[in-house]
Amino acid sequence: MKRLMIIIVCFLLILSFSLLANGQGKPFDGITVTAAVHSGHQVAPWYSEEGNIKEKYGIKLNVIEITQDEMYSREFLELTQRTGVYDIIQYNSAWIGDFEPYVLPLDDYVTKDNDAIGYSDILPAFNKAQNIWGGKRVSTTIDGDTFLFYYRKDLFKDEGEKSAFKAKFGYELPDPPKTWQEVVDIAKFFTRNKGEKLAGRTLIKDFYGYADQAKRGRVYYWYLFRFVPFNAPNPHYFNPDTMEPNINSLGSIAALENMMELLKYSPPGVLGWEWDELYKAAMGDGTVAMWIHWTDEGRGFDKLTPLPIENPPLPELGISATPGVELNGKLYQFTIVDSAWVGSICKDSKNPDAAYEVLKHMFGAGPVNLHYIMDSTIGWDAFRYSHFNSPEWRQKVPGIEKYLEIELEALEQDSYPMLKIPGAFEYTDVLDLNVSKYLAGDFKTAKEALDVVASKWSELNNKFGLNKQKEFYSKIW
Amino acid sequence: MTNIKRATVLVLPTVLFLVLIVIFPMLFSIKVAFSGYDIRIPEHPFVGLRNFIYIFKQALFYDAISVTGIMIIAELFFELIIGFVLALSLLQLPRVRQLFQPILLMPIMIMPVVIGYVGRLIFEERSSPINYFLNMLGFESIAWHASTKYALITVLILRIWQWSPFVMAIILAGLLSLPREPYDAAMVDGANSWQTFIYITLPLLKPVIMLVLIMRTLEILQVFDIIYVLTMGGPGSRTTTFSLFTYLIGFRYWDIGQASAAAWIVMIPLSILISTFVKFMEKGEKVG
Repeated sequence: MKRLMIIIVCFLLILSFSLLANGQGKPFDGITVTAAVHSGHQVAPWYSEEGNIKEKYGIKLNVIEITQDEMYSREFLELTQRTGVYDIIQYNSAWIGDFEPYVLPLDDYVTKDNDAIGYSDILPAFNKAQNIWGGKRVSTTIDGDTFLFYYRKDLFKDEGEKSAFKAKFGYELPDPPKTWQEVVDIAKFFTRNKGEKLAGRTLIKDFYGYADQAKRGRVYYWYLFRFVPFNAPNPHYFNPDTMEPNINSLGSIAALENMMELLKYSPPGVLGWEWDELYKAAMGDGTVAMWIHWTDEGRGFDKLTPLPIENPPLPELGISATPGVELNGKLYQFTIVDSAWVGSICKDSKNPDAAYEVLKHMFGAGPVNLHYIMDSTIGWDAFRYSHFNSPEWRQKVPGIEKYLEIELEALEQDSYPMLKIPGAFEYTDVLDLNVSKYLAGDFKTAKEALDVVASKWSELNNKFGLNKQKEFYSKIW
Repeated sequence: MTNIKRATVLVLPTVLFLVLIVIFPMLFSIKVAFSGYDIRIPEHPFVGLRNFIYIFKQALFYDAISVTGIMIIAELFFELIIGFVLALSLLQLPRVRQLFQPILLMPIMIMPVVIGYVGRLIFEERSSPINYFLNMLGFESIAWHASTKYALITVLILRIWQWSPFVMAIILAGLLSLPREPYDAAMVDGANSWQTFIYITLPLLKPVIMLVLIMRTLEILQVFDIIYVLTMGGPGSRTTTFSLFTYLIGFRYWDIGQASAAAWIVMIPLSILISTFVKFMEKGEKVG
């Protein structure tokens, strides 16, 4: 019995020493950090890094998955009710107008550790459009979402089509198209039925010149790609001094008319198209000549299907910045930087320091973040200079440099942010509804539709307080 | 303990539960409907009828009521017909009823969200198997849920497919519970099948039919998932139902006051409708 007691005591002593040894050097031992994140493919890195974060920092990571459609409502409810459930939230930076009172500015952390997270490595377009709000850093980019223009370069290179285009329109087929008027001409030119000729060969399917994601709930993005350049040289959602909506200006009306015009050269189902349908039609079926989308096509350039013709040429994806407008001989092109996914620390977090370490680990400049950025299945897009210039990425995916260089160039020209004021969702949903109604034929004219939007936007300004909205609007720029 | 006290103690938990789950939320929603209750704005003042007036001024509200009304009428009509046909068929085939009834009930076991996603695939204009067969028969492809003309029809097709078996099951249960004697008497009097159906089956089934109408109307008013996934209320507002409208206001625009006002605006005519149904039902039971 005495011997047994000695053995038990020795065992307990050894166990406690080993636990003590493991506990040493881990700054946040025993702390749990809860992160609310986008469910689906985007959640994988969080689970992959759980073990590494525990080992390195002693932090237990608790991942709460939320579907994209529910993120705003679920996170906003927790934040406004001050439950303190989340330490880190992933959200769309367009919501910062509503989320601002509840997230912690990060400038003190950045100053303290000499920018270890690497804000200076993040492209200014993303810092401006996503992370900096009212002069303060409030988040770090998770996903460098932006929009690029894609087209069938294999088709554009065909000499027969180039000559025919010039004969019809009087100018060279632009490669890539630079203006929305050129897109209309090209879309009209390339829209052909099954059995007709394309690139000198017979089409085995109907072929369309252009396609948008025009489904209710998404279509406002594809309107904004036109709204911004059509309101050049200084596009604004509102008059910055009076907050009078600019959404029904002459440029805005022309933008919506352009959208309706291009619908004639689009596949019949586009009014019901979300991401899947557009991607499948363009990349999978190869039945669309031009489209605008997120960066997935650029990263997956080698997945492009051949043209739907007999003996098609090798497929080649063209990538460029989104089209602009020519005014007085000058071309105005803007790259809309999607508000996209960012990560912030909640003000009610009981462990903000630990939460910051997690953000740094997941999204700081370095091999961990680069590894997930390079993985096209995750859905995190490049946002750092170290991503775009990565030799490792070029080695891993031969040919990727074309996409990286074009996107970098597009982001370094005039970038343009999405609307980010309190109630941003409501403003954009009103726009979305009325654009959708116009495209569905519920309004006779674009002006009628946009006048309704302008009226509603004014109502919303009054609801939230005109001066408050003006103050928030100024923070976007 | 006296009987009254004992009864009170036994009933009290249920009453408390009802108060918490039904009465309190109802009273709170009335209060909220008369308040400026946007959770992004800290003050929630009393605003009188402002929320109600705002809702009545929204074009989308009338679109939503119209779409919901069309869905109620179309679904009730087709589901009753299909449900009756299936129920009568199964009644005539007692041996196969055991095999076919569970198979026929499968659609109502599938979640509406799943039906919505599958609907997106089978009705997608380019790759739709339905369009494939239409093309084979010489017809043009239809853009279905992406078409301003056919979007609501597409939703109705999916919904009728899903819910007709439910109607079938209720009506079949009603048919199986009907007394034999009136049918024997009708046969003796020389009534044919149609006369038997019109003058005996239908009147006896009136309470069951009313029950089906009430249950289906209430369910149709709540339709959300399939619309959210398939069309998000579009194109335009072609498939925006009342529940989607209320969801947008309450959970996307965060104006709980307006959402409550919208719900109460519809609650009143709905209560009148349900009371009418119940009166018909009670009349039917008295006659039976």
